[in-house]
Amino acid sequence: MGKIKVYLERDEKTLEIESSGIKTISDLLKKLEINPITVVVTKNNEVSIEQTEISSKDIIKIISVVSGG
Amino acid sequence: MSIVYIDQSKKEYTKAQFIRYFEAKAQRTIRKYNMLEKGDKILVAMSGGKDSVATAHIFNKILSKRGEKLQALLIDEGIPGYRDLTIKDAKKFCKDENIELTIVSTKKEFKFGLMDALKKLKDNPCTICGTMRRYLLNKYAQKLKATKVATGHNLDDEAQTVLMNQYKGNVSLSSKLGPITGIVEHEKFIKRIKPLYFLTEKEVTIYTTLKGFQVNFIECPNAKDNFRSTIRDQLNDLEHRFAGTKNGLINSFIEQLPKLRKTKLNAILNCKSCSEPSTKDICTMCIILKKYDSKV
Repeated sequence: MGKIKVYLERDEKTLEIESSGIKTISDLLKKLEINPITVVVTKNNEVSIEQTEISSKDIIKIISVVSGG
Repeated sequence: MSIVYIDQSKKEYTKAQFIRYFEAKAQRTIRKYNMLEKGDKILVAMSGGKDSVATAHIFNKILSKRGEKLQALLIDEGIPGYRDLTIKDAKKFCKDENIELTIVSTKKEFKFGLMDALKKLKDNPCTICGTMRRYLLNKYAQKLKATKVATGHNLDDEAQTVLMNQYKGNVSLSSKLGPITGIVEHEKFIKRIKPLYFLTEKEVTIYTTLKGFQVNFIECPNAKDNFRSTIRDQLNDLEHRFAGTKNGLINSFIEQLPKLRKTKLNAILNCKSCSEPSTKDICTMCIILKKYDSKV
């Protein structure tokens, strides 16, 4: 148990999310109501797929794929 | 090795496999549409964002092997808190890759930047910005003696534009789309090529992240909540629920494009005011300039 720190690159802010019920990146995105098509997620600076398991020890970054004009 | 990507057919890719897949797909597009012919001088339309950086890297790799140089052109329309950041990234990228970068400022060229124009004119910011950029891109491509201009348009960009034109009843504008544009020959119109045409925005983001390029994944402040962003959200929602939607849209568009070009593509004239290429007697840029000057 604990909190997962999630850095949202687009908003330049860090969220602390209750880790209960969150086992994978997919669970995290569902909780944050983020469409996985619109983001790339890194776990400890490695690009990771939705099925990747995460815990409160990991550094998670969410990069929005929407950029430019 | 950890998996960084799973495609629609559930095929898994490691970092090295994904980079190979991405570059091979872009190179296949370049070959299939004859984007790089003998004697071509390629100019990349550089913004410093992920798409133009990926495009420039791929062309630089191909041209370096041939002992040829790639050029890049950046149009600075002066959007505060956005363009200043992307210029910094573009300069670093081009220096690292040994690409000659030319920066053209709309303020120097037209005596006003986008923000000045928006204060005076009531037009859509993306319309003014897009017109200024396309105008200067073509004008400077001629000055730099480029034979083709490579842009970073990806599958998402094109799918959005196809739908926007459809919804707005501007189907004739779609005849100007496709992996290679400028099909109507004109000595002053430099053909535009899109090597990332069949790659999604997500794939481009993964590629630039894996390659470690310094790019700001930021959105233009003027693009938020506009028509394009609404279409983009709808398409992403559809893609999430029904995988393959964007590919399906683009593949059917490509099938219809030759017919569309036969019936809808206009001849290219010379603007009677500035003599740059235009489909009308007076080009849109000259109309904007006249309107700007008339409003004190």
